[in-house]
Amino acid sequence: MDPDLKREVLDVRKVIERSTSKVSLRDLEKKGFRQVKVLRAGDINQLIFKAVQNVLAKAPRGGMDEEERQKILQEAKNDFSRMMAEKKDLVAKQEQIQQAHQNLQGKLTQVNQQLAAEKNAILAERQQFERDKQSLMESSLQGQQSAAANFTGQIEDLRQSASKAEARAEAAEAKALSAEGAIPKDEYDQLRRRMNTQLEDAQEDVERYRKQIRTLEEEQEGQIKKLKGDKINAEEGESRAQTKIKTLDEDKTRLEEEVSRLRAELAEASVSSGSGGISADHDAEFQRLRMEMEQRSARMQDMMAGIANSLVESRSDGGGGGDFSKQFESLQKNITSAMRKATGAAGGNDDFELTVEQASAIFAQYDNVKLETNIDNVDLKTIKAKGINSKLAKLRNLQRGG
Amino acid sequence: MSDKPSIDFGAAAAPAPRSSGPRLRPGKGLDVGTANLLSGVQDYEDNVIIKVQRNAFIDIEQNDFTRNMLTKMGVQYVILNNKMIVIGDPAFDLANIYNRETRRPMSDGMISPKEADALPIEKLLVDRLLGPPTCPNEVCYYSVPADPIDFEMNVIYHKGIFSDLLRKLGYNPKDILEAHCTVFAELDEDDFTGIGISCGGGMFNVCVAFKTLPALSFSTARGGDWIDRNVAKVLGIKSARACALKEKGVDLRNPRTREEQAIDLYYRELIRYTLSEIKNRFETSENMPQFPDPIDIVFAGGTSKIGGFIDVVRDEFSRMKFPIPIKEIRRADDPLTSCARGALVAAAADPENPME
Repeated sequence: MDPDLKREVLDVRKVIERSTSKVSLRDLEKKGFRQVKVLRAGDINQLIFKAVQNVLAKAPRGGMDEEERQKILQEAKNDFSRMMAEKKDLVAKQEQIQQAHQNLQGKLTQVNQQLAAEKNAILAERQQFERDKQSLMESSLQGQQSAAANFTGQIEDLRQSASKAEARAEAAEAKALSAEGAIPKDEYDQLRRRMNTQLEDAQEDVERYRKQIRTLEEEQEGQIKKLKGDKINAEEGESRAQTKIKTLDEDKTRLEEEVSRLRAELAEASVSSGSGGISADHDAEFQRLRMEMEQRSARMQDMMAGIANSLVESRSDGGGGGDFSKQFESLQKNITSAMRKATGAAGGNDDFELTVEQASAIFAQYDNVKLETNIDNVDLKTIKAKGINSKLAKLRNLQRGG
Repeated sequence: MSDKPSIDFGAAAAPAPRSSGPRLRPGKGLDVGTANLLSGVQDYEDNVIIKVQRNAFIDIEQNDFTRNMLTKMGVQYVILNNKMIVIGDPAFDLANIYNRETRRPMSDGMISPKEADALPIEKLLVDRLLGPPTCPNEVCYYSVPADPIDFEMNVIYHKGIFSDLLRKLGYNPKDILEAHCTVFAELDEDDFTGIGISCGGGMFNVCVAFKTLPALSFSTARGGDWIDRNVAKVLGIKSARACALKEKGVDLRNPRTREEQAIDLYYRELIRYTLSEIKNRFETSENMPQFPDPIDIVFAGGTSKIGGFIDVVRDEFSRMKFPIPIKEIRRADDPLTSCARGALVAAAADPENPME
């Protein structure tokens, strides 16, 4: 059937629906109707169509002249073309929006993955940092205890040596006294002189041991003071580290908020399909967010390095010992390296390899940097050295095959 | 001159002299050392002019008063990332006063990966040392460390950085091994044949050369900084302080104080270690040239400047069986400038260097 006719049929069906009433077969039977004639909507439509055709055939102009008819036909065609174009346009826009939606979804997934990786890396590093810190604290404590025990042992040894020397002095004195009168004067004087020498030696020994004891006690006292200072510095360092970790957490939260906001915007973009220019705006916004994220990531690295640094400073400032600082330095290096790996940033770790072109690109960031300096106003140390003419002559001679 | 001069690193420097002075021949040498940066250039009266810049800095609080005071006192500074950075020897003095460590743009002979401010500072220092080229495409030889035998590291980044820096200053950059520079500067009497050892702050570099050509070269990752670090550790002081003690005028033949004894001890250990590494390398290397006559070993570099250095070397050397016959062990007349002079010789003799 002709599509237009079909549309008409549908309309006729609606008219029939609206203008007729429904009677059940049982009611009809009660009224004495045993058989009814059924007329299909399609048949009614055919009848109407034929009737119209007949009328038009009888009055060919149908109430309108040819020009009007053509005009109406043309308008109908134009309407149809316009509607088709609109439809095409609408489909294209829908596709564009769908594509933008997919892009944003992809980017959001990427950001989420990056965020999750970053979060995991930070978490893992923080745990590692805490473990290393604990282990260092423990080993430091053991070192301090063994140093204290060593000091005490040394002092005790010296005290014993001093007591022995004193006993030696007393024995010499007693021997000298007991010999007085018991032996001839010459022999006694000789013995006395020997005893005196022994006595002096023993007294010198006692004095020396006492001095050493005093020095050791002072050193021990100094060590205790330094350890106290160390402890305070370590506590301060830890407090600073905690503050920085808190800031890091806040930064992370902000980053998560940004992602949530991005998600909301994505949802909004999905809802408001049909409005043009959404994709470009979102793309720009997304780029901005990515840049922000990268900056935050760099700041996080700085913060982590700062945390490790502050602990290193607190240890080394407090005289915690070279090895201790070295261990923390290594810890810091590990953290920075792990952060680099986690964020995919380039850096100077030991396994890092760089081509000349890449190195040049790194330097390029300083190309347009203007630095305030007085370097040109200060004379450099200048030395006049021996001339190189004879060396050059020999070298050129060798180069010529001489 | 303005109170606040600024330097634009953007474009290549124009080939014009920075200030009036002697007219310079084309060709420059640059010793890129961990502890010091030195440039060497020759004027038309055949004088060699060496400029020295300590390769260290320290950041201090920034304010107008400090800025003016530093300029009046002739102390170099630069403002970077809102920090006032004091450059060169005064950085050591300040580090000692404040009991802090100096910051170093380089460590172990190469650009330090730990120093974020290293690149702009290094650029500034090199620019100041070399000035603009005297003519277009002037050749500048810069020293690079040889591959270390006791440390894992890669010199590509370091080379790339300095090559790019010099190119941006308008030079035709060429790298040369640090110890090869020592050969050029000190072994001319032996037709540039022998062993040159450059004792630097970050490393000791060794080059065995035969008629100018390097036959074997390598480095060890221990130098003056290693001594400073260890002395600092045993004395409970900062490395900068240990460095100052070391450079004050210690004589290894006669250490007088506890500090000097510590310096002596670590110097001896460093020399012993280096000589034994050299010996091991010579014994295991397949490409060692067979020298027809005994050769010289010449030491250069700032770390060899200490009193009694060469006596200790000779003393340690006499205790080992060296695989190559050695004629003489000596120290360069001017150990600090040797590398820069050697690089200058290489630059002046380079066929690509524009002739005057």
